[in-house]
Amino acid sequence: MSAASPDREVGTSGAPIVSLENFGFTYPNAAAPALSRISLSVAPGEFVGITGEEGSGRTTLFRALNGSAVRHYKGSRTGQAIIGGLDACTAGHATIGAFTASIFDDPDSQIVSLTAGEEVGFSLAQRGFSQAAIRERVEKALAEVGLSGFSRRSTSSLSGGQKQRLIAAAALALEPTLILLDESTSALDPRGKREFYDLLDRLRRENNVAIIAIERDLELLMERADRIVVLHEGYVLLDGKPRDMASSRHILRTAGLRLPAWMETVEILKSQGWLEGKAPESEAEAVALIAELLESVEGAMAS
Amino acid sequence: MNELIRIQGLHSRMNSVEILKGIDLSVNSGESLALVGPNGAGKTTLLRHLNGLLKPSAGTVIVDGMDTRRAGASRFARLVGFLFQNPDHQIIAGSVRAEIEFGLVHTGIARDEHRDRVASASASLGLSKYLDADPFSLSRALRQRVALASVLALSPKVLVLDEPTSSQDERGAELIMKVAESLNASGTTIILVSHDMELIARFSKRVIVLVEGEVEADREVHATFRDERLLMKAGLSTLGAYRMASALGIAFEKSQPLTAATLAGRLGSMLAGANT
Amino acid sequence: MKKLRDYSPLAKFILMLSVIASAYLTDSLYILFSLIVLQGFAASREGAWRTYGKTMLALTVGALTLTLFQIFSIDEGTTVFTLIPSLGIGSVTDLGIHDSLMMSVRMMASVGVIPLMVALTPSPQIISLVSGTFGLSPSYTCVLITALRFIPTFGERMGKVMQAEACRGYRADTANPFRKIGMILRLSLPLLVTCVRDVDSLTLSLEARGFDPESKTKPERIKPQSIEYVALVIALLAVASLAAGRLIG
Repeated sequence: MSAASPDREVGTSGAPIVSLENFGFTYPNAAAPALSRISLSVAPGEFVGITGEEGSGRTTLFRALNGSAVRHYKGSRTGQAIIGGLDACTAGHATIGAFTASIFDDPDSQIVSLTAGEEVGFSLAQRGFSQAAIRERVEKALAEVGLSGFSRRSTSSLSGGQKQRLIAAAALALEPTLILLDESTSALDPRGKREFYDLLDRLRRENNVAIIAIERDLELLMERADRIVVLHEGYVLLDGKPRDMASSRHILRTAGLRLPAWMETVEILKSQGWLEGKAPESEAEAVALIAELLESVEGAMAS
Repeated sequence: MNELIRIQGLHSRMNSVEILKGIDLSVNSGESLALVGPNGAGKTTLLRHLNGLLKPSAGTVIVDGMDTRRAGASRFARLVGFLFQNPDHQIIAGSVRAEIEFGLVHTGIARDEHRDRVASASASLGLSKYLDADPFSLSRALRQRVALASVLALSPKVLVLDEPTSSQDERGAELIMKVAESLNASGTTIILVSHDMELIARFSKRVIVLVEGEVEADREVHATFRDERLLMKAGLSTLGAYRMASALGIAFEKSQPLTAATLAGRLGSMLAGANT
Repeated sequence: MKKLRDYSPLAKFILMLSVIASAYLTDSLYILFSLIVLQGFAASREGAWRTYGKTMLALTVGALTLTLFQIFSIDEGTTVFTLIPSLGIGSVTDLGIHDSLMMSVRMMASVGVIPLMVALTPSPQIISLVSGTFGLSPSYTCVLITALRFIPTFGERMGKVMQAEACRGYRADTANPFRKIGMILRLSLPLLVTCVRDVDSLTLSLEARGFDPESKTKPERIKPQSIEYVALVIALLAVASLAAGRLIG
């Protein structure tokens, strides 16, 4: 069935786990390409955040990365998309799925089993793991997402947030080397979101898992990601470290994103002539600079 | 302003688990309020009591003089417009137009009013060019707006929005909230459930914090976001502007909105004033 | 010894058919009961006791109802007792007891084996078997089976949709059963359509997790072993002898 074995070693040599070069993609019967000339490289253990507004090509990029774009959605492509050393477009999502976990935003369209335990163990059963190994991994995965003891629960009895955690557990059971997320925390409350991303951080640290997350929350990405890629109308508008976002406010606005409060505040103050030459790259830095400014101005008043 | 919704001693049980443990709430006509709290606190359950979808196991819910125990949800359709969290549970028609008309047909609104109502509801949400499209061929964000449009077409007195911007990007979220805002300005009561604190800080006037089935706090919006202890207890995120103001030791009037713009404005005048 | 659930799906299917055939070829209550006992034994060995137990409980209720109806309609044989002697209503004969009991136990034995086998067979195997045997495209079969599997979710979703529509004024809260049925039918079609749409993303999810319907129709790693052949031979011999017994006797 699949060419990849469960214990495939990917990305251990330090080569990038994802390498897109001038990749373009057009859906069948579409007037314009959904993605154009995308170049992207992700190293093992790296956390890359992808953001952009509706229509920017985020979901298409997700599909290109998990191998479903060409084989399943039957679109046409240009350029290269290499995932784990394989050509994502010819290998297809079943093969890529052996070492890549895809977590979509709508759990209802992803859950295939009647019980939680069955759902988590599904991919393992498909890849030929023994019953004992499956049981062990299922318990472990459920515990990691905070659903211990849920193995026998029927999937239809779970809440939206629990379902999202369940599909995360199902994705983790196969111990992937790459995790793709498409707005997978929309049903979680802030605490749930934090715990979810803490879990991802742990996986990166412990198992060198690479993470590509599509999120609308720029502030969240700035907090968690190693790099942020901003898409707009199918192109990469910006690819840089979180700290670089601060100096690209214009670009972020063009991309239709909501700026964190501190960035907006700094922008307004700059437009009034304050903070000239200063470029704070985080909320803490912005607060420190503004405090300094207030003190110096008060100091000047006093003298 | 008169009282439109009165909830007294509301208890709600589901599968022998008590979800709501005694809620007392009064909402006046024309208010704009937000319901926040961690997952599992009972927010969605509370919303479902507002139009009779769920009946209290104890206590009463009276909406515009009607006791929800006495009537089914369909009787409240023109009074309480309900936008569900998952638009796909609501969409049933083959075209956006038919979808928006669905409620009009079933609540018995006069035929000659249909065209105008459909036109204005779809226009306000940027759906005019999609009227003949199959809702399921549209993106999730657009489907959410279609579902909202069909609720708006009924021009309800109370608009209940359960995570209305969850699938929207910034532009879509703005659009939806502007619509809600203008409806509120013309008298519609808005009840919003959302995890997006920034949105709530900008659009709602009153915030009810629900934790484990009980009302933890019921305050004016800015007082809510200033109370870090409350936010932490309810597992809610704090807001950037508030954090900064607090770190800089800047005090604001109790009811003054705290956004990047107002904070920057205040800082600007502090700095400018100090220079003269 | 190899577990039943690990048998090849074709062997399981044949075994299942053998049980059903045996149930209809025999007239002996003893054999029928032993078929049920055999199933129960298999269920407990395979850890499917809960499923089987629930099925049998439901079937027992059905069987009792069936028995009650049948028992009063058979007049042949010696009357054992009568419900209302004065009116001559409700006479129960010994033959009546035997025959109606047999019908019910036969029903239980033949129907009970089906969910048991389904519980022991992962759906991809069912898909492979059905598409291979009937020459259907695996994707089509996958769609079919997945849609069938989603009947519980379908029902739940139906409930959610009816709630949502009620909020828009649709009078779903009617006590009139005909109106209710009409309503359910009206809502069913678009619901089915959305379920089928879901099947597309579900198939994607299945495939990404290793289930590839486009590949060989035999599921991998299930090579029939000698024990399966032995079991099959025993089952077929049993069926043959029952059939022979009927023809001769």
